Amino acid sequence: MRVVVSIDGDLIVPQDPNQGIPGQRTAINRIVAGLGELLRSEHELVITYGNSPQIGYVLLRAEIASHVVHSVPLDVCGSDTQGATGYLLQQALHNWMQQFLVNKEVVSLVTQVLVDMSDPASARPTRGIGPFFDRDKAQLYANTRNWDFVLIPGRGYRRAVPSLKPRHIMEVRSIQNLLAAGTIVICAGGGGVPVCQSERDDLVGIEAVIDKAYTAALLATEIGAQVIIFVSTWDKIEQTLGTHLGDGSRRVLSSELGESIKRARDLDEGLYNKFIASQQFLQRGGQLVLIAPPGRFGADPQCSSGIHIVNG
Amino acid sequence: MEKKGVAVVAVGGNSLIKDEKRKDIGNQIQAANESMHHIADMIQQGWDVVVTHGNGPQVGYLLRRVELARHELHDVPLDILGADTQGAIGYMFQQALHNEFLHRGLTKKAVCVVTQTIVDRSDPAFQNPTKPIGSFMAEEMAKERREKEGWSVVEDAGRGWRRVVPSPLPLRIVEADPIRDLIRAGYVVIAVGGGGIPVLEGEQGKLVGVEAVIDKDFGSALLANMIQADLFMISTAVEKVALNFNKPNQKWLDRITLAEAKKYQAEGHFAKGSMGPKISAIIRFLEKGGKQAIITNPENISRALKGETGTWIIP
Repeated sequence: MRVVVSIDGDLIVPQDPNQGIPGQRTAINRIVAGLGELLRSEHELVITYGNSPQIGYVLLRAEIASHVVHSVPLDVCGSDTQGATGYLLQQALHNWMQQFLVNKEVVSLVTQVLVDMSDPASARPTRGIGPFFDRDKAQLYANTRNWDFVLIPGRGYRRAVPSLKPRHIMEVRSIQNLLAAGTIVICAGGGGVPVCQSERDDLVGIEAVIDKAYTAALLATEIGAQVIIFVSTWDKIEQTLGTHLGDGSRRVLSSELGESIKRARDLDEGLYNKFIASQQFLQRGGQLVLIAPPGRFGADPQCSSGIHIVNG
Repeated sequence: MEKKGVAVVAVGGNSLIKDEKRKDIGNQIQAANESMHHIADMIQQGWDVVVTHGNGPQVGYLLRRVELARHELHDVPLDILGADTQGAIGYMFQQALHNEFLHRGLTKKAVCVVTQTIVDRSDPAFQNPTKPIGSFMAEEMAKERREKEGWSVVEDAGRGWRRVVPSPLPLRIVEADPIRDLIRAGYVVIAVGGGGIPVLEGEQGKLVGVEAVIDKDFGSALLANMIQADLFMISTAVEKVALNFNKPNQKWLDRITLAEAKKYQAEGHFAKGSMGPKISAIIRFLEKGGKQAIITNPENISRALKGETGTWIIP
């Protein structure tokens, strides 16, 4: 069985940025330990993850240093975090497997994702990223860097970029080759590095973000995975859905998600995207989506706690 | 397409940053496109290529940002910075190669693998850190960092104080097997950026990042040995290696043996910070069973492979 594990960015980066990289290592080790039984199993595993907090750090540093060091466009920021978070995950997985004598290779691939530019609605810059600015600075960057801004009441102006839907994982064939060789593949971090095609069909990076849930679903479909596991920030999900699941599990038919989707749309964009992405994946041949807290997963995702979404 | 074999090609700093005035991302992408054009030439000739690269200036930019943002954000250790640059440079190369293949009608694909390189804690470099990194500091700050963070700092000929870190020899490339799998499956692989992310191997084979840097040519040579590459190429700023470089009796070298390379190295023909380590890396590669190595500049890669230029070094 092929399984795509998608880890929320917030679970990798501690709330308190003072915990720095050691805090990220601890968080990642904990998540990896939870995946233990899956790592031990015969499943072919792909691991992907969010990178919003890390992108925030990269952008804030770039801004503070902008009088001395050149700036970094979003596609390069994304690839940067794919290197760093990929490395941390790869090392944590390697170490866990060494400890428990699991003899598998693990690699991280830099992953470009071709985005869908055909939907004009999605090309609107609505997603706020990076540090907050005062009015003057925002005006300056609007003029000099051609940036768009959103005003977040009480916090200030924030750069806004489009959040685009993924259309194709550029490195999908190499991912499949590695999986077939028994290697665990870490890829498509942060939803992938967003690229589009120029007039002569060249790939070029673009200043946009891609929601990782849609990328996870597309990736799962393109590699023919049966299962997606969204390892998620749980408190927020319980709050959004107004239920307490704890360690329990709940089975939902894809067609019955309506009410949950409505709630998520207003309260938790990340969860909303997970639901919609799940429906897409299941419609295109997927068997199971598990939305779960970062606890211990069994070798059989069917038996793990969380929300189980299946076709029907 | 006639199969020529597997080549590990280590591209130099000039493949991303042409000069001090052209170091922003736009220029880096342009330089990457140019460099990968030459790599695509050799791929079209039938070579299976692993591209490796340096990351010195890029780590420098990241360090500078981290330093300036220190009052607001956490520090970032060197292993993570190395990983950062592997992602970003890998992305630029991978995209440039994709576009080259597209224009040439090749069905090849390029892929970048984040790569860890194991170094030995007992390597003498850890007792004697020599590689300067980051910005110059005032003496007071240098001493404070030494006290509080255990940095090694040195005074640099009146220009101020600088942090120095060890540059140990690489022992093993952790991801060598998947890299070989990808090459065998026909991919062009970008790997071992900056010599690889330096890690120590502890109890039970557990890896942990370490504050060090690895010479990219040494890391690349090691990978070439581990995947039994047919050729190790170093692409740098000069077309050929010379004896008595920049002196009136300068002599370009076309083809030398391992024994000659060692002799010239011992005679001090190759500058310490530039050609010296490249020759040393090639010596290590050939001593461990490597078949052939070549040094040339990006523009002459194709001609060199046809035997028309470059300096060839053979066992």
